[in-house]
Order: sequence, then C-alpha cells, then structure tokens
Amino acid sequence: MTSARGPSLPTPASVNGQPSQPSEGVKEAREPREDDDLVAQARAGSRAALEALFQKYHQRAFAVAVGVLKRPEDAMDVVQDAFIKVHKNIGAFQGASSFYTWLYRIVMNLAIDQTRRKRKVVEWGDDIPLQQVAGDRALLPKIEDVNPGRTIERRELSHKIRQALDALPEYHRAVILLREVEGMSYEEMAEVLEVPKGTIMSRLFHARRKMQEQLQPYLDGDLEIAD
Amino acid sequence: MDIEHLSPEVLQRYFDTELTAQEQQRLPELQAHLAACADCTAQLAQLARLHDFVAMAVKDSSQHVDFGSMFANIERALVNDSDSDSGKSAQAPSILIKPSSAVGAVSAAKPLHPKLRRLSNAVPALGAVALAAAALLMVYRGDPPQNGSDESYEVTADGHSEIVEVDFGSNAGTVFDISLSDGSSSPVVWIDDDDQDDNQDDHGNANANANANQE
Repeated sequence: MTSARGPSLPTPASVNGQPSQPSEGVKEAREPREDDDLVAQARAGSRAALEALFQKYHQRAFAVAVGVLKRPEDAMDVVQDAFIKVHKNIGAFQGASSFYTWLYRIVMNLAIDQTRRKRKVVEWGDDIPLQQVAGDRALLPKIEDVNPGRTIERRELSHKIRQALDALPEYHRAVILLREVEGMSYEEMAEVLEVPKGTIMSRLFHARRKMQEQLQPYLDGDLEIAD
Repeated sequence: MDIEHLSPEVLQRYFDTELTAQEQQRLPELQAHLAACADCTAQLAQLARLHDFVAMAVKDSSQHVDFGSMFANIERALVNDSDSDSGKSAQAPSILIKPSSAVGAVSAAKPLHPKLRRLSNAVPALGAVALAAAALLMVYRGDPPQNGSDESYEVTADGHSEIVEVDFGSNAGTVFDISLSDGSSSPVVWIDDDDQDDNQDDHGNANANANANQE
C-alpha cells in the first residue's frame, strides 16, 4: 500500500473548505535534513543544537501531550522529561527513524505512562476550572450559528470535545491526536506508536467513530468557528 | 460512470490522503462520485469538522501556558544529573540553623562516625523547632572538608544552636537526637535516598549526614 499523498489527489479542503493536513509551516518545521544536522551537533555535545530542537518541537509536543494527559502541568512535565531523555539518549539515536518520530515516541510513552499512574487521581473538569483551561472568556471567540438560539461558546464546546477525547481508550486518543493535531501520516504514527499501519488505520477509524457519536449534535450543526 | 457510496474506510483514507495504490487508480471515479453525492460529502465534512474540533480543544488547553522557563529547567535538570553522576545529590539539601548570636559561626568539620549512618530507623524525630528568628544561617551541604569515602559531615554551630528547618531537597531523610558519651545529646540530620547501600547508589547519589551540635 502506498500513500496517496501528492499533487494528483485533491485534499479534502477542496470538498469542505477546511484544511485537514498540517499547515505548510508545520511540514516545513520538521524538515528532516535540518533535524539531522541538529541531531549530529547535539550528539557532539552542542547545547545550542539541543535548544534549537527544543524550540522547534516543544510546543507541538506539548499539544499532543496535553491531549493525552488533560492537565497542562502534566504535559509540561512530560515534554520536559522527554527532552531530558532526548539529551541523555541522543548518542544512541541511530537515525533509523526521523528525530521527529523518535521524539514523539518518547513523548507518547511518557504521556501514556503518566496517564496510567494518574488514572484514578484526576478526572478532567473535576479539578481544573474551565477558566483555567480556556482562559479569559472575553478573549475567546465564539462559535456562532446563524440562529442565535443555537450559539455555543467555544469553551463549552472545547469542554465537550475534551470529554469525548477523555472517554477514548488511550490508544485511540493517541492516534487521533497524532493525526488531528500533529498531522502525522499513517506511516509516521505506526512508527511512533510501534504498531502496524493497519492497526493505525483501524484505531483511527474507531476513534473517530466514537468521537463523532459523542459530538454528533455539534458536528451536524452549521456552527461556524470564528477565530 | 457512477459508483456506490464510498465506504467509511475509503472516505477516511481519502480524507487523510492515504488512499491505497488501488484506490488511487480509481481516483477519478471517487471524485466524480463525491461531486455528486451529498451523503459522502457530508461524511467528509464531518471528518473535517472533527479535525477542527480536536485541534481547537487542544489549542484551548494549551493557551496561557508559559514555556519560557522550560528549557532552563531542562538545562538545570541536566546539570543536576551531571552532578549526580559525579556523586552529588540531584537537589542539594539545606539545613537552617539558628545560632545563639547573629554572627554565630557555622562550619563544616570532620565527617560523622560511619556507624551513625544506620540510625535512621531508631529515632524520635526532632520536632519542628523555632520558627524564623532574627539571625538565621543557611547551611548548604557542600563537599565534605575531608575527601573520604563517607560524605557525611558535621556542622557545628556556636552557642545554643537549634535546627530550624531541614529541606531534604530530592533526598529522603529524617532528624533525630542521639545521646553522646558525655551525657549530652546531639541532633542528627539524616539525609539519604531509599534503596541505597551504605555509601552510594548506582547513580552516584551519596548519603550525607549533618550534625548540628547543641551545647
């Protein structure tokens, strides 16, 4: 099976007007050759190279980690620990996979480990006020329907989405986050999660199905996301 | 030529631009169907919407996160780890002692007797003592003055010193009194990590004792 990526295949953007792939910026940001150079320098002991890799990836790694872990502070810990692991193990990194997938493997493993440790401690929404999660209400855009009676605030929707994510088993959550947030290909996800590509497809399919069931009222609507 | 509805799996792969080689050969048919089929297009639109929803929720969870100090924390951890590798603890413990006078001397002296190292289970913990006093000296654990294998060291404070606070840092520990041969007692701050042997663990974290003598 080969990837259908390429100019001949119209992206879903042409169907629904919404981008489904990572932005060009994201793709550019994980330019493998540049990573290889930085990795080589970091292996030689360059702290600047490590920092460059950190600057390049930490926010995106955080986005995936927070998707798995729920609590921003836990995700911060995971990203921090991941880069410490990167530093410690970069000498053993052979470059068989890209730095990018290697880093995400570390992040996902740490995040899933932490989820298992904390499973009984925290339920999303129980201990974190929405205000803390979503910030100042005044700063948040609203998703507004044409019909004002169906207007829903973005943070309320965010909360529903979070609940739906949290209801997923972690192996489903991981795959949907890597795809929808990080825009990874099936191949990359298979590498990160160390499962066959077919498993990735199946997990992604079921994860989306479950999310769609949970969020059906919102997915069916004509709500517009206003930035 | 019209074709049947796209299966959910094919729709997913189309959406993800991950069509198989076979499916890609049928791409014109698939596109023609999508152009004419409201149901399949609606399903694609739902996938796109779900994508936006998940991205939005994660973005909202990431708002107001300050990454400013994260790399500094990483560097600090690496430095501490490096220290740990060379036989120091990851986070230095500190002992706060209130001396008898504002200029009371606190000094590191000879290492404690090794036998004291095993007393940690024998102990009445020294209760929390005085709170902040006007003259407090912070004594940070440093290298032992004599470079023996035992990293314990003694801290002697002039006057009626008392331990105000012990911060064990990343170590485990306890505070207790021992009776000396002259009938007096001496508090011992016992700093160690669990699962260590007498001297050093595998990571080079060393046990350390500090003894703050009282007159």
